[in-house]
Amino acid sequence: MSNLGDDFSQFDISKEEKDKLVAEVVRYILFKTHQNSGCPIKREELSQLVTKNYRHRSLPAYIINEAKAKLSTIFGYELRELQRSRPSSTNHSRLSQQSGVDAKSYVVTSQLPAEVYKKYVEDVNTSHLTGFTFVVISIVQLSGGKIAEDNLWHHLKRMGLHETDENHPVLGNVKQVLETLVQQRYLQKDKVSGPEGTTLFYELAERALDGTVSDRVKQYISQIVKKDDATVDIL
Amino acid sequence: MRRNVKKEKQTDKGDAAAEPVRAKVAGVARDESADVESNQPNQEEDVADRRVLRSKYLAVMTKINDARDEISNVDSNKFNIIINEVDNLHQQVSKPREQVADAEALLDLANTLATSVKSISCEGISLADFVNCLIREFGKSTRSLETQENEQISIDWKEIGVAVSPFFRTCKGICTMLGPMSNELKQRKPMVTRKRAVRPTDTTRPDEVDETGAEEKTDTDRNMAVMFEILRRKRQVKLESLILNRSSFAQTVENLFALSFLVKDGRAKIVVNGSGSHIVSPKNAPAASSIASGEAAYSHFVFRFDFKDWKVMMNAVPVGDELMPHREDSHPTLSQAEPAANSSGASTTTPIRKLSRNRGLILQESIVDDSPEPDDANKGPGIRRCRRKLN
Repeated sequence: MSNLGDDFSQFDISKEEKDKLVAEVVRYILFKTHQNSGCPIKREELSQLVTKNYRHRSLPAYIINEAKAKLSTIFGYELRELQRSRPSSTNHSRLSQQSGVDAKSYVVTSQLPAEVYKKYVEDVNTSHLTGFTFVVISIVQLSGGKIAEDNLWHHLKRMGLHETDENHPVLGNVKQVLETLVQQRYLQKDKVSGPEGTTLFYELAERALDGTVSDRVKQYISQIVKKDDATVDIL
Repeated sequence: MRRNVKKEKQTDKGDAAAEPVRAKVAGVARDESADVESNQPNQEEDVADRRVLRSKYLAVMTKINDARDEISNVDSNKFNIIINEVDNLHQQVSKPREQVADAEALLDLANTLATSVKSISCEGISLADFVNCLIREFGKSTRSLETQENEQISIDWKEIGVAVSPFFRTCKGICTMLGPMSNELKQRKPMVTRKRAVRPTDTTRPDEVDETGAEEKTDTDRNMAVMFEILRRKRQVKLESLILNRSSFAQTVENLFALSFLVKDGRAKIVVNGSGSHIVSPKNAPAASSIASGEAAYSHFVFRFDFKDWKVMMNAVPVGDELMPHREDSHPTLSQAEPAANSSGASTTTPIRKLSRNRGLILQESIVDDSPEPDDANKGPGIRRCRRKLN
């Protein structure tokens, strides 16, 4: 990759053209992340920004890598690549026709240390959604990484969230928020056919299975339960 | 625990129904003579019993689903209660359909326990424990776990979010007035190589067109001039008298058309007098300044006029009161076509000139060939075929 970084003359484009393309990709990533509430951006979309004017086959990969570096050095963002280990049953037919490269997508995460992030970056206006994300991921994780839809709602009901609730005072349409977690690739839907029809299962997807996220979630689950046990002991 | 598979004893008689042999859990078969009954009344009772049995199994499965947290709890006796209930129901099972219900109940029970075993990987924390802890830690209401299920609990989702946000480190992106543009893949046009045309060395100057013909007055302009002259002489005339042409409906419409232009230009005005008649009188056109300032304002109305109205107008206007003269040269088509229709001679070709209604410009010339064709000979003398030749 260093060769590519040092020499872009193989693409028959000037430094200015290269910088313009990188800037365009960075701009697109930043705006799209905001517009889509953190849902992954398909690699195909980023490639199109390049291929609409330039025909070199390996130019999009080079530009995306340059954009990755720019996002890291300037914004402190990490452009993380997601790739489904296996397609979910709900969109299996569509994805099976695509190649592995096409299935790739990108998400942006902060590279700041936890303390700095908490102090300066954390958005209080959307923290309720982060809280919901954590709770759902924890429930699925404690169920062994996969949980039936009715079982999930059984536990969420105990916390005052109902499947039919479209006007929750904090979360609004709860079912829609859960669907957003699927789009953001924290969860993955899976339909399983049984004797009594199809059952919908939720399982952890790439972003929830990510090493650091998974470990921290487990850690915090233990922390909550232990803290609670300690409180009970004192009482 | 051993479960016996129920078998159905087949009698030797072909038409006799098979009587079930029910085995107890211990494996001891019942006395068969007690079960042998008449077939007809027993069948209906059997169906009803089986339905009740299946509904009991359904109730057990619901109980397993609702008490899944308690079942896996070490201190709870719930598992023993449910498994005993399933065992008792199993003693009444006789047919495959009930065996399926029995198996499903056991499967549910096994799945519940399997899930609780999986949770050991997370330091032995069960889902129920975790949810209870969340409610205690972040629950807004002062509600103990013993309170009624229907009582509302509310979790402080923001507080949880603030606590866990560094785990996810999500980025919100950038919000500006311009969002990401729609990024649609444009279809590339296939490359077409063209020969470069050699530029001509000599330049030519286009001929200058004589525009004297453009200044010629149209029929409408002439009609307007004639009409305005009549108005200037008569000062006040009835609208019907002004536009009516008794011998031509088309020319009446043309007169109305000319009048509409005079009114539009501000050179004539139409008012309704006391008796309800439309009176037309001439006037000077307003100055450009008064039009711009809005002093001179136009008011419009729709004048309905068709062939029936023309007939009515002819009756309303006395003969000789028509003011606009009849224009002879307006429709040469009629005058030239008439001789062709009257002449019964051999092959005569009559050119027909089609003119626009009031512009006097030739749009199309055609020749009508009145010569009868050979195959038309048997059709009688009165029938002719016309061939139209376009120049």
